Amino acid sequence: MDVTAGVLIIIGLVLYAIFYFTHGKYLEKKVVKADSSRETPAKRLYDGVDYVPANKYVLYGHHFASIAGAGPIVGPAIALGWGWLPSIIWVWFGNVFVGVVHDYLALMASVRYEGRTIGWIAGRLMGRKATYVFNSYIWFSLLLVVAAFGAVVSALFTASPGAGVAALLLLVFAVITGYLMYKTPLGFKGGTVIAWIFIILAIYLGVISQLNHWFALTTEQWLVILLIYIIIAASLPVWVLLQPRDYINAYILWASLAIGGGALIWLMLMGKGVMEFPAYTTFSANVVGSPPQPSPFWPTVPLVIACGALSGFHSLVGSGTSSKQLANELHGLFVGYAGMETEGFLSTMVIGSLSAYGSLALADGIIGSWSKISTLINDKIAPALGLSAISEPSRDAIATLVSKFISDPAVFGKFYAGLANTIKWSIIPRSYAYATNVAFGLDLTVMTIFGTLWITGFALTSLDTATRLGRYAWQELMEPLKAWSKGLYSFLANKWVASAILAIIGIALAWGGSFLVLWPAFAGMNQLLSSLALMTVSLWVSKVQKASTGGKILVVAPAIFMWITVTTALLWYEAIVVPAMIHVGGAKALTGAVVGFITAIGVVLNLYLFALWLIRIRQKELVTE
Amino acid sequence: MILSLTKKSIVSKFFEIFKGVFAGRSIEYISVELRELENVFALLVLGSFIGLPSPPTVISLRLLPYMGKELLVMTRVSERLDDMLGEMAGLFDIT
Repeated sequence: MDVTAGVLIIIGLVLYAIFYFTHGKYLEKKVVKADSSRETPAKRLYDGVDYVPANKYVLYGHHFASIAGAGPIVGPAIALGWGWLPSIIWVWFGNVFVGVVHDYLALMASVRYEGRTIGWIAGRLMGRKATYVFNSYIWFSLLLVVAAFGAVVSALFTASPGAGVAALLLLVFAVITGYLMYKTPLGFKGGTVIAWIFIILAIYLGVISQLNHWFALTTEQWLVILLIYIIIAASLPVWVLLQPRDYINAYILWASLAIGGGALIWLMLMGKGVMEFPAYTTFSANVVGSPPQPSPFWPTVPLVIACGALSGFHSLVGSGTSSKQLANELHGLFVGYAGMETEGFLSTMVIGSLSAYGSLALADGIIGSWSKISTLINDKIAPALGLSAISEPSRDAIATLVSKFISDPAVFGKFYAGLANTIKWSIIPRSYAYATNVAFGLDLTVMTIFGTLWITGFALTSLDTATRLGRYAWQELMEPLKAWSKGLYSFLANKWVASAILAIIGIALAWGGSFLVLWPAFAGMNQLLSSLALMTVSLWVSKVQKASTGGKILVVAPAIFMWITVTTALLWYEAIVVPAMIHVGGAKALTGAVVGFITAIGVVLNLYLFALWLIRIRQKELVTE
Repeated sequence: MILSLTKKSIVSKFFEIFKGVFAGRSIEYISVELRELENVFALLVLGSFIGLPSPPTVISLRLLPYMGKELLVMTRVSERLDDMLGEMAGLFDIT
């Protein structure tokens, strides 16, 4: 039976609506016991700065824009190696059984603890040591964010140099927009009009440069540009670049969601957009590792799909920021629960468009990267498909190859992730471009650049915000040096030096092109953070809220399930992926050793955390600190 | 008539929300920077109470009635100092 991407979207929307009004409402009434008469911190502690009550819909929009990033787009694209069916099942299952519980309860627990972050609440409920574990996860995440996002941005810019040009131009335009908005009488409205003009201009100039083959740089050259960019961006005052760029990105996010979602639904109405990728390949497709190792779907899937199904970073946004703006406890479900569902919808859209138009995108990618991919095609994929070697990558020959490739689940499962990685993940923006092209007749090059800009816009923000946070943390770490050597302290705590240290280490890890090792390490750290948040909220629900047995099960079961899954997945990663990397030697071995060390610490901390949690959950009355 | 009024109110409500979302997005970080600057300002003005030499205590005392908001914000932030790394990680939405 042919399934279209639009059908997937409709099923997703119906599923999310059903769960929102049943599961969500149950959590709201029986677990959180939300009460509109109980004043939220936004009102009780109103200070006009941090604690400010916001309109429910405005807060939802703001919360979603904060939690949405490159994660829910890139993860599902990698996971298609297992087939679209297991990927979408994990997105939906993870979303409605784990992700929404995690996001909504982190938000509401924070509301009950005066807007404190989930790490602080963990310390309160599980003991101070849990806060230290939380802080460690954040620190390691910062490094892995720079490495993983540096790798994906440089790959996408290599595949679509026009998008790289557009992204660089947008950085300059963002600085101008910021100046006009904050320093001249033009203000918000005038600045916004200028920002829209700049977005269109950046894409236009990106298209021109792509058509003329300007800026056709290598991945390494893009990495150097990114390194310089993040050091500068992380050291500038926030109003200069970060704030206006984030503002511009918000328009790109909503526009891309509206265009992409609309295109898939329109295609469904026209009877187009059939999912051509295999629904299921094999349980142990080659997805994680460099080279990709046979990766059992469970437990390794959360190392691939994190943000679309469950993301620990959401608990940071929900508990640290949104909880201080919630005007009414009854708004929490819409902000936290529906916000997470919207992220799942984004992943659904990605899986739909990739599965429907990924074959066209794959063919384009193979032709575009033929010099780099011909060995993989001719030595492994073509023989496995029973085809003879291809000497010239003509469109017909590649179309035949791709057609056979997507019709053979076993071969697809074995080579998809490696293939997509070698063609620099161009499959993601390109399939988006094909979907919008077929639906609305939009230009392929323009939409490829727009799609790339959408993903990399998030990733660039992640790169410089992670570096900025890392700089703050590093400068604090250097404080003790002040008494010992003032000169050395001044040098190491200098904002440029502090930014450069994290940026250089992160980009060095990305240098070896081991994206399928870095991404799972980053996602794993993210899932460890979510595991901590789930344990915290499960304690809160059981011991503080004293929820009914049914309510406890809805929270404790996902917490235990995720803890087992993530721990097993990371142990598998340590046993299979890291040794394989080290065995390759060179830069890859170094990358493998570093990420192996970081994830090993994560696993040990996670075991320790479980012991802390077990002690507290068995206590009749919780002793808080 | 009623229908067109309802439609108008829905459209205006939509644009109000739309503007709210994006306006919030355009000042998210600089509002935190403003808070920090207000803290610095409060410390400068009221510094004599905690041993900073300037300005003299008498001037700080005369300014005190006008510093209500700054004092409130400063107190709130000082209560959350053990939570700042997590708070900043949430603010900067690192992914």
